[in-house]
Amino acid sequence: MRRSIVCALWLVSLRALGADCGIDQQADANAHVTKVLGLSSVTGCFGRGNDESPLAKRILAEIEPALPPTRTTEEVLIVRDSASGWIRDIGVSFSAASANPDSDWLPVVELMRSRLAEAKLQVDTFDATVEAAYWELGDLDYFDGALDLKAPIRRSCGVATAPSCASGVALATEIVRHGELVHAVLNKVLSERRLVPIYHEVVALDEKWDYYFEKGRSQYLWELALNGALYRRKLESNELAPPPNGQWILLHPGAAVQFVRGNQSPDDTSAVAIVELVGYNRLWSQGSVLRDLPLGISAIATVSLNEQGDRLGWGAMVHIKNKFSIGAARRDVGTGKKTTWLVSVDLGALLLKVDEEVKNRVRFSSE
Amino acid sequence: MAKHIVFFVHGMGKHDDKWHEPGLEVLRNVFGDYDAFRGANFDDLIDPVPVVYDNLIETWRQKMSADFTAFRAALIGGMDPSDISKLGSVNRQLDKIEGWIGAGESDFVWSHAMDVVLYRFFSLVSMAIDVSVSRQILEKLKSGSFLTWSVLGHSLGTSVVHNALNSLYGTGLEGQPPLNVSETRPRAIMMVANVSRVLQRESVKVFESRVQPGPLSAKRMCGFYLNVRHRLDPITYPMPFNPDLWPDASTFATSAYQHIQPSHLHLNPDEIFKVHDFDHYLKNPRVHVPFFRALFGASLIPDPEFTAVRTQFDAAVQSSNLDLARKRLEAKLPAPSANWQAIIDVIKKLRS
Repeated sequence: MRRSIVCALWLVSLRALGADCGIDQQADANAHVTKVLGLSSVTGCFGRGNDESPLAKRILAEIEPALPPTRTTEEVLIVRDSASGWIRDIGVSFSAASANPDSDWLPVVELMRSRLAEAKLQVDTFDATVEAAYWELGDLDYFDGALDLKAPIRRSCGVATAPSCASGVALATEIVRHGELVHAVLNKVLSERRLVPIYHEVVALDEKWDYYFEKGRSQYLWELALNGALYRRKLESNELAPPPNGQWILLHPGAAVQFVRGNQSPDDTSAVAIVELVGYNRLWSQGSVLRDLPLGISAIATVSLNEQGDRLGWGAMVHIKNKFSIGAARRDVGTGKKTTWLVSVDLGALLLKVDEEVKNRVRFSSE
Repeated sequence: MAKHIVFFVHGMGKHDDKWHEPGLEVLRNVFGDYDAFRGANFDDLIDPVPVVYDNLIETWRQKMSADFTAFRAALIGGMDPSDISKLGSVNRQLDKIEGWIGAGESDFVWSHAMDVVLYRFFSLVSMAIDVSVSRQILEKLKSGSFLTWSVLGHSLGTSVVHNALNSLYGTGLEGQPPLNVSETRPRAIMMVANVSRVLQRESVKVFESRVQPGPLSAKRMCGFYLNVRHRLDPITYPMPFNPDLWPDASTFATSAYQHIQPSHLHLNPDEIFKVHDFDHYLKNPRVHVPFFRALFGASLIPDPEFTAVRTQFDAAVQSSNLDLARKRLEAKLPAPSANWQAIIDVIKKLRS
């Protein structure tokens, strides 16, 4: 009798706070299940943002602030100590809310208490796995379905007007309230203890890959295939991994500015097409005084399709910091072999140095 | 208030950080059709996160293209400008090479088909993408402020989702053991236009990897695996993701694994390529209801309501135009025994 009055008063109080979280008497047991689930999962009335209980409001507010991007061990330990306190408070609150449950609810309550104790241990133990995923609310169930609220609600609400229905529904909402709060606390601990450190490691990998593709030398498909084939073993381990330390260069068309030795006019330079026949560009190395200096070298051929002399010249280029390349090549220009000095700063920008009028005339003539 | 995070991982072609919005809008619009969600604000419950990775492919392509353009310009610039015939001949040959290596203006086939080839066969590209996707997922999760998180992949994105998650949960990083499913795991993995099997790597087969649905006690990667393949989407036909008794008989019998095969056509006969579109898939209740149920609880959309919505949806799509669209699509369906190359052929045919 006393329990019925308490439950009725509780329902009235919920109504007074806001109709959104109120549970009216439903038509049947299934309707009660749907109602509790809806208020839990959609409206967020229990242990989530729309929970007006003092416990939920306090804990959710205290969990909210995020630590700064760079965390000290002390700051992480403070979170752990706070989380331990929160779990303790949730446990105390749940014990009070679930005192003297009906026989239908006793196994559920005992399981919940047992899991709460485990959660506290996981939070308190530094290296323990924080099993936050078990505390996700499913189809009104927790712990992989081991704690299912639907069945006891249906039993309690076999007759929708029975006092056992109101008390059962009230207890179900308390279980959800405390379950959701534990989930929020464990997610917080998980994030500080595991997700943030793992995230930083993956960021380091990602930045290396960004560097490889953005700052490293460009690769044609066949070069990508070659370097990938050499890298394949890492891929087969099915783990996230950093890029290779360098890039093999193979038959790589490009361009450079050439200076012909002995020319009188400083303006007598021109762009020359080159093909890097084979080479290697080291991006990083460990334990070397030059480890922060990307360096590469290629054997090259210059390509000239004008009528004078050989079409190909032969030489080498050195690549510095992925930005500068200097080299030399020798070609028979028709009047004997000449050495040309080659410089490339930004091969893409070189396009702009070619006579636009020539380029356009050539393109239009081929249409 | 903490929400359900939903990661949207795109497929082939060009995508920006708004790519997911048509599909998201479909979900937002249908959300209120269901009794349990009436009056609830979709955006208060779902935190959508677009995951974009084609910038990596585009960076690679642009750098390579710049080098070839410079080579071409220098080669042409060094020729006699009065020899028009020779200039034209060289230009035409360079055009062909430029097109083949993808250094020219990106056309549809190159931007779509080559994404598939690059991700599947070029390990440097695929690893860079897997790392980038993992980073984007962790970037959102690291706040710890979420109820659940789920991943929706579309087309090539289904392969990316599979590989990235499989690797993320198997990688021990400096001072940290691999992520554990009992710590956190996706509530649902929804593979829309699932091509993860035909694009699977030799080293990790999709039916044997970590990416499986089921209970936490069995260390399964996700609570729900929603495998979505439209019956008339030719891209999902080669080596279809269609397991039996997967990952095991008892899980297969539950809703943890669902093979969803819609057949609706909300398109004109002249736009049959839209059968593969992300938002086209999501319109069908057979596709979005299992996802809502996974997130919020199956009891919130009971079977009678689901049946009624399906019936209403099916009745709304009857049209004489659809027979023509259906015939055109049926003519393009490759054999299930076909391999990944059939996908490239289909991409070309759908756009022709």
